[in-house]
Amino acid sequence: MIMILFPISLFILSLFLGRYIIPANQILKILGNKFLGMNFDPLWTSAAETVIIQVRLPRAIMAALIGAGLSMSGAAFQGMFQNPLVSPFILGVSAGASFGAAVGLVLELPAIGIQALAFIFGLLAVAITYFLAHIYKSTPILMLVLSGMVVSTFFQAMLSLVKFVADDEEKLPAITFWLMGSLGSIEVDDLLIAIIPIGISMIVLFLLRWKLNVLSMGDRESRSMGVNNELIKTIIIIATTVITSTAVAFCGIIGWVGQVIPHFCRMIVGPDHKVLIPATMLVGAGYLILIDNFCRLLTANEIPLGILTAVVGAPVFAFLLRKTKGGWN
Amino acid sequence: MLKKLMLSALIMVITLPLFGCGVSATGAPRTISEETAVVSDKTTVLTDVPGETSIPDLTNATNREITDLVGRVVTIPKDPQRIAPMTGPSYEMVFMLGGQDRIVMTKSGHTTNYPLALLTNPDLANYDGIGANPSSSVNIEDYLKREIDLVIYYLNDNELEKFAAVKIPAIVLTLNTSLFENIDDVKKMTLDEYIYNSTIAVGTLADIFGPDAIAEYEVWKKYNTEKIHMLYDRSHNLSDDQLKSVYWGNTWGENILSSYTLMNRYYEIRLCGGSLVGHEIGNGNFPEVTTEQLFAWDPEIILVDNHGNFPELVIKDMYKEGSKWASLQAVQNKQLHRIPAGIFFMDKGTTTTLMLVWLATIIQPELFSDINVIEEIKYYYKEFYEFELTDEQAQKIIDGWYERVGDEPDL
Repeated sequence: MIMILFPISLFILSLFLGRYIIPANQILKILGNKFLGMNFDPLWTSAAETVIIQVRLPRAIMAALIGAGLSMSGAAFQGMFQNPLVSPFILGVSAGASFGAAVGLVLELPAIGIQALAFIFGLLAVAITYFLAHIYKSTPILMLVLSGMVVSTFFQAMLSLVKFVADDEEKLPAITFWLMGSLGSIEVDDLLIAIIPIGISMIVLFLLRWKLNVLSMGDRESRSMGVNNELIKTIIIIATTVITSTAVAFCGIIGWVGQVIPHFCRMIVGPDHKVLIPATMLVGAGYLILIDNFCRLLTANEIPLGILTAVVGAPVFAFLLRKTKGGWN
Repeated sequence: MLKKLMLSALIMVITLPLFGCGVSATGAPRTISEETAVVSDKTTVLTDVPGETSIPDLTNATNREITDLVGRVVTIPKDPQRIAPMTGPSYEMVFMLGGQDRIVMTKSGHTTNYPLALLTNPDLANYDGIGANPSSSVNIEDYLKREIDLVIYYLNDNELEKFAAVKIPAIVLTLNTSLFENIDDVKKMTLDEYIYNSTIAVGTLADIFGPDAIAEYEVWKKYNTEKIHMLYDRSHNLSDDQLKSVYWGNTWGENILSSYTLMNRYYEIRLCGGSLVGHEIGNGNFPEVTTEQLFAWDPEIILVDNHGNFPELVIKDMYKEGSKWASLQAVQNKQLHRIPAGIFFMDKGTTTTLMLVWLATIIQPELFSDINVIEEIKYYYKEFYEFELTDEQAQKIIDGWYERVGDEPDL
């Protein structure tokens, strides 16, 4: 119950917090008129309504969506790879998407073009990883990890090349700021585009949470139990890649969420993915809403989301590692 | 020749008292406090010609020393003839002072992106152009093979050392950005200090080019001083309630939220009868204000910089029906204004004061109702570039006459 209340309460709270001061009763009336068909006299300014409906609401929903998606992806990968240190970016999706976005920025594409390139290159990077690792009609975990390293390294080098040729005054700041991650530019239209692939992929992961328990025993054991682990692995890789690519395309690199949250939840609910997957979804959603609130509230400047998730995530992860002594079963 | 020598001697004698002020004993950059005594001395026009730090040998030496704007003492040719203005505003400054025939190479973007720069100087298209940015890496062979004898470059110690290593004089004509540590320093600036800071780069360059350029500089400085005093006289008594709130955005990336370190423009906006929102935001490489913060400020006027990508699209996007920005009063009142651009962006180079005159008519139209900006721009171009603008061309400048062709940035 606490896990359910955690994201919901933070979501509601985030609608009431902001640098533009709006009385709480006005916020409730704005929401009532907009979503519940109420008819309060609109005594508030149009700016107040814009801030609630077009700034805070889509941003909080996107934070919840991406926090939940990245956390579920992290949990799924950690189960599949049988390793608690794995992040959703291990197959090279972030490096590929970063390269795609950087190319889009250098080519001065509009936002939708940049997002599309980031998404496409994120998928491409993982596809290359997958096919590099695919040997003897199977994709051993070790091969996946090593191929992911190769592909990540390649796309990081390509990203460096793009940064090297990008001009220092406009493009390089834009690339650098983009890579640090932010929900600052999220609009309702972005949300409507992102919610479909992320939502579908999250449903897929949710439905496969039973199979993850079998996969987490290892390739040989899962095969011996009659599970078509190649198919399950492929579906999980596709689902997590779609989530992470979409997240990176719209919000840049938001690290550590997919590592820390599953680890934290595993401490609370245990390693059973039937429970772990929904738990990471809820806690991840709340966590990213919380961090994003700090990003937009602490100063008049937008603090890049990736900075705060790393600043908070790394020590928390270190604490969890010490506390669990590296074990996770 | 004799006339030239006498004029140089006169400059030397009159600027002698400046030598201890131009650079501190340790060679540290100038500070406002160090310069106060200088800028308050306005009895003789030529005392305002900055640059020299040692008495040049006017008869035999082919070189002399000058102090650039960040306090570096550089040995340069007495009469450089093969120069490379590589910073954004430096081509326009050279052109205004009549030094275009000395240019051998410039920023590649400048040879393509400014239609008016090409109209006023058709030779510009034929100059060699290479990319240059504040932190880009210099290929010194580009400069050696063209036998450059003076480079105007960015404050980038590593790259400046490359020039020094091959004995190509490189000067910095950009005021040290750390001149003001916080907004209180900016607020304490006197009008004379502001005028000094905003004219010293052109003055230093004029001093390098010699008597004709100095004469041009004097006329230009007189124009600037008069205009700045005019702005000050009309705006300095405005109460806080009368000041219009102004936000300056779109300085990188592609949205209005990317911004300068906002205190940089505080003094100038105040001169024009405005109050810059966000001036408390300090330094940072990529300041981007939050969407909600812009709503909280709800500025009366939004200035859209040309440095970010697509300034025209940023404005169009903010004005479009259903835009999330629609409730900002600047959007409702059609008060989004792109910074004008002509030979260069008008907020930079020699035209900053002209930009302020335009800006004053935007911010306080009643207070500056007698100013015809079109005529003001035409006058400036005729007086300082010897180019007759049509009304349509002047209007294009106001609308931002800048057409980026290549990838080359223009700062």
